[in-house]
Amino acid sequence: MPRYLVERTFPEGFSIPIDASGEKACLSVVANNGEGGVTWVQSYVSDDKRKTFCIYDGPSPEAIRRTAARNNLPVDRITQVRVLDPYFYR
Amino acid sequence: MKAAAIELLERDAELRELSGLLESARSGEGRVALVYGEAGVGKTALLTQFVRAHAQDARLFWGACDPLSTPRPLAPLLDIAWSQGGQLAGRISAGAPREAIFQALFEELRSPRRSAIVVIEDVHWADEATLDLVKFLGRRTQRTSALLVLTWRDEGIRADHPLRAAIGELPGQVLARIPLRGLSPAAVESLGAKSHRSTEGLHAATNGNAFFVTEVLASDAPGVPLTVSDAVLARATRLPPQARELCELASVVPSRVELPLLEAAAGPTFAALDELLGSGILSLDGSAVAFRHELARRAIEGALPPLRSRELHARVLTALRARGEDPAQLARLVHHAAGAGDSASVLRLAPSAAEHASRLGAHREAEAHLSMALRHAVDLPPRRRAELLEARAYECYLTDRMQEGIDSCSEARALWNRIGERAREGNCLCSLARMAWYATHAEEAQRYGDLAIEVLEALPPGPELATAWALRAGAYASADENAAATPFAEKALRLARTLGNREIEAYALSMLAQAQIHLGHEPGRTHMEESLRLSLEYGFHDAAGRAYAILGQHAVEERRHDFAAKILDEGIAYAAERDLRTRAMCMYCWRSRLRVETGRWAEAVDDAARILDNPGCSALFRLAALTPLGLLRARRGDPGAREALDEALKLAKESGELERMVPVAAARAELLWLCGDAEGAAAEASAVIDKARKAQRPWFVADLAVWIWRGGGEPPPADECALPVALQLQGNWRGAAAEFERLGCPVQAALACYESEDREAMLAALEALDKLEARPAAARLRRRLSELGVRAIPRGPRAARRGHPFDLTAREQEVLAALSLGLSNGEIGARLFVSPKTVDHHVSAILTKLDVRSRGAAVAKAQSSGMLQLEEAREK
Repeated sequence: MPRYLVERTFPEGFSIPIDASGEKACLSVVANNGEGGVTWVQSYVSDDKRKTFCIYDGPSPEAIRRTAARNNLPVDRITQVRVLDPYFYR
Repeated sequence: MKAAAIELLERDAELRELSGLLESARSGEGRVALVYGEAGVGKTALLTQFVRAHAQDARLFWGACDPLSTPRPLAPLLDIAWSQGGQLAGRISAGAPREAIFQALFEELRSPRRSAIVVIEDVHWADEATLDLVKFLGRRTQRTSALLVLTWRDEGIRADHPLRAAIGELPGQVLARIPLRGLSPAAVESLGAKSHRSTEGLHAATNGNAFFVTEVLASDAPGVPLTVSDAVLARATRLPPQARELCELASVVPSRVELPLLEAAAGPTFAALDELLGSGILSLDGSAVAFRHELARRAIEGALPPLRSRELHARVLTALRARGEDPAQLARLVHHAAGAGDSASVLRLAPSAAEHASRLGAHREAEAHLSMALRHAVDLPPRRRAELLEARAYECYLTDRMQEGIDSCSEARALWNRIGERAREGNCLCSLARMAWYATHAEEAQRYGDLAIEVLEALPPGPELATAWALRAGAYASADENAAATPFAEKALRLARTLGNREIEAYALSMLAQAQIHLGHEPGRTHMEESLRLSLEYGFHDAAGRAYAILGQHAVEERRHDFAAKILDEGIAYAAERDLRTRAMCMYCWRSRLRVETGRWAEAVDDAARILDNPGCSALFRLAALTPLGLLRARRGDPGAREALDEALKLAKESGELERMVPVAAARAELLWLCGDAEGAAAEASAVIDKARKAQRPWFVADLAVWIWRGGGEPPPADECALPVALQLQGNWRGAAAEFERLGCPVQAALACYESEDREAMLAALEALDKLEARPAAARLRRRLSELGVRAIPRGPRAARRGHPFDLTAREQEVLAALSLGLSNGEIGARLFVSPKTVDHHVSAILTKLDVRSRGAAVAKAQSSGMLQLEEAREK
């Protein structure tokens, strides 16, 4: 399954409360992802919380967008990526 | 403890949701509930409880699909009719066409007496006709006071399972999805406590599956049995011999056995029924018995030794036969005949079952019956075998399984040839040509078509020859050799009329029309509409589907978008309700392209996915779906555009047809231009332009010319192009933009000003592109603006405000929608991933803009001004 880097912009910053409602929000994202056949691997969030860079596994860019819409998340750009690390050539 | 006494645990939320949906149905807004989960999770138990609670205030219609090797067409409807009687049963036994039967059920539901609950269980086993019923009811439920509940097992439902497509066609606003999950560890523990059993490891071993848990707790064996099958078999083993024999007999009959049938098949062992029911493995359901769970039935059936299984099937077959060969029972007869290894009976029954299924629009079932017959046809006379093969090939053709169709048809053709039936051979050659065309085997299609004409012209003229001529006309028209197409179409039309064959007449007429439309000759569209009318009037389903598809295709090609949308929606509904998969697939492709063109991108993806998620679809459809998908990815700046269009190009070359090549070449040119390679774009379009000019198709020429011009190449004369591009080439970019706008092509309208140096127009175009989220085009325009020295270029999509009555930002609109659901700031924040404080800030802004004091007043005002769509809010 291809891996994608999904860039998102949150003009007002991004916040997930560290309590039950935050957990609920994250779980609902995971459930919606499951229906769309995509997996949220992890995300990197900028210091000002206005940009996120999210790693997803999914069948197609359309599935990524559909799931994002279901989760009310913006999408700026989707790039298909591969893992490269310092030991790649070893 | 008896399994039957298990109470329903952890289903309060689901029951509440179902009751809520019924409430909405009662107020005249019917709903569809989708209840799904793995086998044994408790779907039936949930619904039984639900309908019991509403026994007084709602009418109940309950039907189930069964796991026959080939399902009985409309099995659930037969269940419903059986229990309801009345008009519905009358129409079915009178052999009414299925539209009339569907209509009768719909009327029944619409009758204002009381709200109704319609349960169709286990739709993962549904035959095509039942899925059509689901679509029929689903699309109309909203206007009734009925709640339609569909249940299915979601395990192992693959992406190309027909159920998915059927569900996908139901209107989103009436749907409620109710997935059922397994029991929690706490619930398992509480069940164990009640039956005084240890539940250690039970939750892990059963995954909370209510059936497994129940079965394990009901078995006396200590600890957790290795498999549930063991649990079931262990219980069956403890039955007294007669009850056990009866249990085994019942296990070969899928879903439920009517008591008289069981009695007839069982003989003296029937006396053990009470004992069997007392064991709790089977239960009484009206005047039939059924296993409490399908898993148990399968466990017992699966453990039968082969000879024993044959013998039991044979007994059921004999008992069924004694009741007469009712067409509605044919599928059951075939199932048991096959189980009994009774080839003679399969061969006699399966073709009739196929015919019956085909008449009801269950083409996939018809195909399965014919395949079953062929598997049992070891030494059949060649004529009979050829007939079966040819019939199977036709069903394959209708349901887009071209390769299998080609295999069957080739064999049939060889047999007809061997026994000297030249006309039938010619007919097979026509079918082969048609199917090879769908598989993009252009040369093969041509060869078969030539052979068909050669064989049939040597015989006295008959319907087969008319078909072959019409087919040849169609091949010429698809290849844009339109002048050559016309005489063949006219010959075919005359012959069909002489023979009085209306179906071939409709076919020939549509081929003639296609050539005329390509040539820009006026009567083309009239003829095509005439062909559609004729096909609809006489019920020529495939011919009607073809006419819809051709009308839709030309409207899309010529950017007559309103008409295209109308005719394709209508045609897709028509084909979907009759299991005309080949036609439906074709129209989904065109609608996908229409939606990419008009900026309805999310929906375009849905249409393309119907084809691409289905690995077995025809190459022609794959090509026709990859093209808009690739263009869409290019326009959104998503990865995979190049890959999709490379594959499309390869397939388009195989098809050799201009009408396939042009959209691919134009999409590839656009992709290259968006990536900054204008010269490459021009080269890509130039490769096909000569053929397009030769065919004199103004839109084909235009779609390519614009990229040649934009990439600095030598474009063809403007007067060979369709209007907006002609204007563009003449330097009238304003006229081009206005014309594209009028036609509903927002991307091309925005790009028309790209070369203009008119800053104001370019800023407006930029806003339009941002709104569409056409990122690469917007980026190019931004670069161009900054080259022109424009300083104040809006930064991105989010800076653009959508036209909104109260000037609310997109975010404020989302908050407003959430307010209408009565959510708190904290809940809204969690949903939109912002802090409650930010939400508070938005709420204040909304109150100010709407000029109201409270959240409630804001929602009321938004609703009364029509800007808050209730459905939209509810969905979120």
